[in-house]
Amino acid sequence: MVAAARRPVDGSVSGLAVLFILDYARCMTRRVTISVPDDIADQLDAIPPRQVSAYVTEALRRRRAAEDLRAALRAAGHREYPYEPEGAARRVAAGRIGPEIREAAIARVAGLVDRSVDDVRAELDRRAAS
Amino acid sequence: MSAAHWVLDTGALMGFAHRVDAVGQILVDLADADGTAAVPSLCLVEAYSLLHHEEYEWLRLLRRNPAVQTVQLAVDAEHSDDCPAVGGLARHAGRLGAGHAAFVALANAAGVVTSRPDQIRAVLGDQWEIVEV
Repeated sequence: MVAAARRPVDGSVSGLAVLFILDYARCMTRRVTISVPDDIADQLDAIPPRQVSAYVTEALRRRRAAEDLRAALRAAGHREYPYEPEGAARRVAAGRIGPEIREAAIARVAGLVDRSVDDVRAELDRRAAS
Repeated sequence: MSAAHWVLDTGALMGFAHRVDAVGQILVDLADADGTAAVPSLCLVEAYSLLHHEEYEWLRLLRRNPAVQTVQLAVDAEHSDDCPAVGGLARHAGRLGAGHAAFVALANAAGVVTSRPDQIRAVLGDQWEIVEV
């Protein structure tokens, strides 16, 4: 039974079954009451009460970004892409370059542009931090 | 902002506008896995120079998405100046956009999605993660 499988989320110390969804873009907040399945409620219960709203807001923003991107792909004529988070995480991680390969590339670049390896690395690290 | 997972070279941006499936899959993966793609500004300009004006709207849609971050060229000659480094890399890559893509990829330790892997490899070497589109 749906009603029995869901329970309100307690997002505050006082036990009010509410969430404060923050709208940072407009600097406004609205109070929203929602019901979620038990497993999701357990997940939210594990978060410090003052961080629940930010957590849910971030999750919804990610979801919206994913939907917007699919809409952009559809508009450009691409096919529909299924939602498969595990495969997506694996493929995204494949793009990350390990430190040894990065160091080898920095050494290569230093040779190409006739600069010291430390100099090139420092410039790249500064840029990455900016 | 966390470091980008992939850098979209000019060919990848063209691929988005021209419905290249591998580009669409990478973008969806980034959105679903909370990753980000970096678009070097020189690659963006190159892509616009190669697209028909009726295709500009697709790139605008792509650029609006928070999973896609355009990386500006720093041009402050006193404090933060990417121009010499990007120019130096472009000299060896053979294209301004490839030089900027290689620079952004090195800074972010990110793979490159490109239609010209030869140009990227000329700078970053054979071990660098590249998806050819």
